[in-house]
Amino acid sequence: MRGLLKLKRFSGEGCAGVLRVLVAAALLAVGISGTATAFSPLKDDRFHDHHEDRQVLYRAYALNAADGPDAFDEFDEFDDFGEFDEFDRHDEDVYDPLSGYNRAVTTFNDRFYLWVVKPTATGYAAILPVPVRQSVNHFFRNLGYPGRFINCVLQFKGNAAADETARFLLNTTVGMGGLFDPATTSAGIAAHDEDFGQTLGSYGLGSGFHIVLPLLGPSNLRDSTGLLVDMLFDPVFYLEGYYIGSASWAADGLNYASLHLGEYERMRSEAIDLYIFLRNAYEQNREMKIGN
Amino acid sequence: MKKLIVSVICVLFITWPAFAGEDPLAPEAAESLLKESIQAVLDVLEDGSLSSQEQKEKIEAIVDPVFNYELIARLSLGPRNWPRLDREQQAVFIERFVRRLKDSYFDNIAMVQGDAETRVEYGEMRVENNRVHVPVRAGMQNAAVEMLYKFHQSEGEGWRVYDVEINGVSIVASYRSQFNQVLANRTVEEMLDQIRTIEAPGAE
Repeated sequence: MRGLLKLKRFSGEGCAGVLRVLVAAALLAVGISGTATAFSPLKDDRFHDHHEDRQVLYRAYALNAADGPDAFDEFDEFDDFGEFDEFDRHDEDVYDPLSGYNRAVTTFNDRFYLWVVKPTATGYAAILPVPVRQSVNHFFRNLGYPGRFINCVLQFKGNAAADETARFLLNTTVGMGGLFDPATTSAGIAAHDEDFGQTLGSYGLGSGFHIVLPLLGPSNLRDSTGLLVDMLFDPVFYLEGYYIGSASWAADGLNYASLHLGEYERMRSEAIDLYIFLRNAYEQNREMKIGN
Repeated sequence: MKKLIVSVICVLFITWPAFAGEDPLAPEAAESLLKESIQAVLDVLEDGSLSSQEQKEKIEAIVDPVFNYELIARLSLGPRNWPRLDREQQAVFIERFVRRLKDSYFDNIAMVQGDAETRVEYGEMRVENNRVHVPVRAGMQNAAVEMLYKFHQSEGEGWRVYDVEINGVSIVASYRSQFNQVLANRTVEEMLDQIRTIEAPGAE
């Protein structure tokens, strides 16, 4: 998100500029809400039973299966699928108008990770021991407090907002400016990773179509809008000179990557279609976060 | 002698729940099956005297009865594509897909292994008809993973897992969306060829 810091330029110096961006983002959000309602049903339909209409659908699938000579012997199977209709929405065609662009950016991001981020993060990890890198990570997460707090409040989660405030106060003081995380390790106060995309989702806004952002990875119309708004809550955004903000963003990203080496590699090796895998996993994960 | 009797009684008392014979079809049985299996796997991972091959075999023996692999394979391919495979292809699909699932499971477990601080917490299970969902939170050094183990009971049989969600991402749903895409453009044979192996992590 901090990669988009150039936005600061046209947001102007004063409060009016910030307001303009907010209003624009709100308009955009309202605009997409009309087109995006068909996406990501937020209700938990894992247990719901639409048994009968589904039987018809499964029969139609079987009839369409041109190379399935055994299709008609398999009526017992339809019962199985009918019982597990919680997965049916993943059979529906996803509205993905940017799929060509998205696949290209996915490939770019994949190469960028493997060729640039991974070697750099590996070298960086060899120089700095894990506790130091964890402290760097804690420091950046602590800075994200304003955004998390505001989004907790916007979602009417009073307890979560209080938790986040207690965490921030404790980690900033006892945790030496956020370098340590006594809120988790000693006080056991849970973190609440809320962002504006989740806030919009909690208001019932659908995800809109999928967008893969360069360097940042999978997103969608709702969450990209959310990123722009969250940027305004990010203290780094208000640093003089956007190159400082960008450098800070890059350091955070590199440090984060160094603590999670091997995870993306494992995921990509298990994917059958990397783009579809990432798109589906991202949307499922966001639905869970919005539901929480 | 008295001591012996006392200790026998103590042992009986402690192990009483095991003798009480919990109903294997009750929803609670799914939860305790999961807890026992996870603990057993963690014990194997902590046992330094085992070679990695021995560890793998032991874990497979613990995990295999808990998962309904065939059902996972069928659900992953989904109602749209399952009828497109003839019986022979279905058998090949199940075999290769299950191999793949297990490989990725062991890949992922290797991650837990390096982390001595792994803590496991269980959430409140959710029961509906013949399904039980048990939330599990695994806290590791750098991250916490929220999992949901989804059990299903087919008639007369015990509880077995038909899907696992990791941070909200269902394995079945993930594979289903990919198979729907792949089979929209390619033949069944090409798909079967593609799932044969997992590329080594990081390989180009």
